[in-house]
Amino acid sequence: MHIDPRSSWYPYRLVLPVLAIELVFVGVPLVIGVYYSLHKADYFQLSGFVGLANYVTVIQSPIVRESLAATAIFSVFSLAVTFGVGLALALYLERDTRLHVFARAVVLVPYTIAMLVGSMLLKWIFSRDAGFLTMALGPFGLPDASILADPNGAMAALVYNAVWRDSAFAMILLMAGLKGIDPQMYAAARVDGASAWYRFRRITLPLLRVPILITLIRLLIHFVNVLTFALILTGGGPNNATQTMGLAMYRMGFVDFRLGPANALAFLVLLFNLVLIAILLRLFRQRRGAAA
Amino acid sequence: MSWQRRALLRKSVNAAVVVAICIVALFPILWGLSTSLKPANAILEYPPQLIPAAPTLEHYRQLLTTGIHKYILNSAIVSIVTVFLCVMLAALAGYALARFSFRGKSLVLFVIVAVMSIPLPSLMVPTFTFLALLGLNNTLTGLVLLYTAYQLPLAVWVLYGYFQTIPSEFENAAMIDGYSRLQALRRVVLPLSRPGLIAAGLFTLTFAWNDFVVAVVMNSSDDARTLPVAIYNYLGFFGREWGPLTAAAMVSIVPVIVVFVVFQKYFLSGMTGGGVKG
Amino acid sequence: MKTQLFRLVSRTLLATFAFALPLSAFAQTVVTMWTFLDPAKTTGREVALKGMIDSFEKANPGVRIKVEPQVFSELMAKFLAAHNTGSAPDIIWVNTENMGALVKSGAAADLNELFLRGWTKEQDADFFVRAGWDAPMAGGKRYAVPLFHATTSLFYRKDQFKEAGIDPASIRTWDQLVEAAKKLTRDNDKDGRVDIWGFGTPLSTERTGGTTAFTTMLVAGGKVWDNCKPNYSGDVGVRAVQLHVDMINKHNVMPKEVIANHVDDIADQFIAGRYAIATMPFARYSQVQAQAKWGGDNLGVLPWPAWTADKTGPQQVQGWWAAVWSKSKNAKQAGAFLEWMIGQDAVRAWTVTGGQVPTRMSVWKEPALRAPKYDYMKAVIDGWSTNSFLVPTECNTARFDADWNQAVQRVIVGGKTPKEAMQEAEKAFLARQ
Repeated sequence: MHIDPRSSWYPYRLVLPVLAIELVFVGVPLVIGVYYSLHKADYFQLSGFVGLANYVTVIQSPIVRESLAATAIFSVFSLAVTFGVGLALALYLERDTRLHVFARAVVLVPYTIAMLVGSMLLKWIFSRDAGFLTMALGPFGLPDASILADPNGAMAALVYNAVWRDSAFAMILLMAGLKGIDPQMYAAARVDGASAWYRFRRITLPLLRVPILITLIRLLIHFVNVLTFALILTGGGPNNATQTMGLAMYRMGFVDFRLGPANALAFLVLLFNLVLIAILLRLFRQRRGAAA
Repeated sequence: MSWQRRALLRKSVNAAVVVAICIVALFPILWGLSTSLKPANAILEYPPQLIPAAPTLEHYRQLLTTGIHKYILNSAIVSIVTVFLCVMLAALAGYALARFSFRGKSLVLFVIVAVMSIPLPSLMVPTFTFLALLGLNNTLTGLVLLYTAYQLPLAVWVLYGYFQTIPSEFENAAMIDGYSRLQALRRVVLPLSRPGLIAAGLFTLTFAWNDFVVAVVMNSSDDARTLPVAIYNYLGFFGREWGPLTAAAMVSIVPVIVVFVVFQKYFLSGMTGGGVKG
Repeated sequence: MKTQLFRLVSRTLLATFAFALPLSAFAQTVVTMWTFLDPAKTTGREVALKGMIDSFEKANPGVRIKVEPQVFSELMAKFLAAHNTGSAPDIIWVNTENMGALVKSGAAADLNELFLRGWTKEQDADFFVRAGWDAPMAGGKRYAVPLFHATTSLFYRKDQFKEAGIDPASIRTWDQLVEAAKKLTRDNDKDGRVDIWGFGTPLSTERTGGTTAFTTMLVAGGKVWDNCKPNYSGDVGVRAVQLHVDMINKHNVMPKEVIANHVDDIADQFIAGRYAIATMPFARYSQVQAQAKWGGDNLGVLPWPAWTADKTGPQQVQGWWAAVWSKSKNAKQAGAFLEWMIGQDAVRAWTVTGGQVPTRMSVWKEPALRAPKYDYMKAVIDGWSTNSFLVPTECNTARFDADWNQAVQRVIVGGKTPKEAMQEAEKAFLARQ
């Protein structure tokens, strides 16, 4: 049956497979998960409808509030630095010289290694006992310092882990966007005597708007949800300083087997993410209005 | 300063920056490599040996005897199929979003963003239950479908954004020449979108190749085990074996690096270079 | 069209791969077992397990034991999830902190029905670690049997003790331990960095599993859990937290970084010679001996100190048990293999080949085990015989000791008092019940 590409059904046909897969493999489990969150579900077995009690427990829990703070700090710092480094790398390594191509491959390696392994190796390097720290800080008079035992140090290490790994992600997205900009625009601007900074602000940034938006949103969600970095690098400590919501949720569900509150927390995190994205989208739309 | 001097200075700064990048990015991994080549009792020495004094391949040999090739094959199958399925479907959907405005477009975009926002671990137990109903527990197929579902949103969004930067004149010209829309997509738009496609493919590949959280829950048998789960097993109950652990990690990096090096040249070709000129 | 064709081809490929998994032999009964051991690997325990499987299959043709190794930390979660979907394995291994979950979830079969009713009183009594034998009992039913027991011990460096002139027998109380640790903490090359610390224990909230000194400290002070109600914030609990804090801040015998370390980190450091005394899982004794660069002969085990000098500290019983799935279709055969795994020959294999402490007194008394190389087990066995305890299995004891580690962190980093911190730990425990 040949469908006229100009018929109004055409786009729906193209989009349908994606929607179908998402509905089945994400939508159904999500609904099941919400269903669990409305019940007492210890040891993964439903045992009684409790309505919103799990949500109340979660919202009132001081641990969850702590994790919200930890997540906020971690996400904001990681986002800012990862994006900054990614953009810098994308701009710096854009030209296709041998050296730059090699550098891009090098930057990509931390991203392509499993998060688990990367975090374990970083934990080892940051640990006082491995000795690297001592070698680096000894000359500064801190031979016995411990980064991971200090809450700020641990958070900094966590952010470092995120930046180390995910700058490549930002770099790739932004570089793909950069490649899509017609070099003639720059040539024209150069002829007109525009400086590099001017070219960046007036040509590059506006044309990079969509890749930047995608990068920011994707990175933000990733940092809010990720659990591996905190689980392996810091174990959520010290003093819960780095127990992000993702980690708290994992422990509640998979270690304590309290699936009801865990799913309630997960749903709240989902809503939280959506709110953040809405805020980001609004900020972007405002900027566009201002520039126009 | 003379012109040559300035050029030399620029080159050296360039090289220095690249060296700094290399050190920061690669140090932990080179440390892992170094560890994987050390005999077990030299691994925890202080001060740490950056270059192994007595390198050995014993950990790599141990990997082979415990069947790591099986797990590599499983991971490879799952990753390759996932990348193809995901990028293909994402290209179609991304194209539709970029070229058409239709009712439900905002719904599609919302679904994409919403799916990306769900924390994965929270879906694991319900998905396990659901997959069991479908009989897809302990299968590579199940993993492929899940990975595709989890990566489609990002892939669609990346390609949607990328297609938007390609003017529709190209495929319009092709369609006037007699191509159908899909043919125009395949022959005109896709070749112009290589960076976007590569980016989407790379993200999907990285996720599918390295995922641990989904695989460890969904699959339990040895036959359906993937590489990351095998690596995690070196964090045993009786202790962490750094040697085989780092060796397995090194083994798991190599294929992805190879893939990237191969696809590097697609980053090289300038994109809309010939596009809007005439 | 092309995309449709491609889709068809790819789906067929997927289906082919999915079914390319080897088909099981129809004539045999296949009993699946989930454990963290992998019979294809070569450590002592795994070799022992493989031997048991081979001998069982030889004695029972028509039954095949299929082991599916799992990541140990995910064993119980996966088992519970699979129990709900009807796809659980026939045999599951359970460790101490997940015993409560096993019993309360109804996922385990009653082994009295399967094989234990046929046992004599002597056979029953042979399992001398009564706390471990009785742990999986609830409501007259028995849900699991112990495969091997484990515990946490104080490993110490005989050479360091000798150098500092300390007699291990003189350490009877915690205060005496701290005094000894002070003498053992050294900065040998005077570079401002301590080279060997007197005491080490993992205080991270990750990967705990009863590896700290807390349990023995608290149990020595009385009933820690009363009907799943925790009693942490009394004098003993406060003292325990304060002691850990002081060891770091006041006595300087422990580095602050231990609050970021879990059991593997401490084990690594002890093996590398950076602690003179450390709380370690006893099961790692032979591993430490083999890997220590400071000479395995210098490894010793201290009996647990107590608050006062009149008796030794309580020795915790941990371990791994095996259970049969309550909905298993091969329950009889699974039960038979369980019985095999705790039989005389198997327990001997666990001990001699696997390096575990034997669960049966009859095996311990065998001539082969009178050899001096098993002397190190004596400390643990004596400890269990005099003063043993097990964390209550009728409660949800997940992360029970992570709560205590958290309390120490609250005090050191968060500025709370030990009492406040322990009260918070009590709340955390209650929230899981």
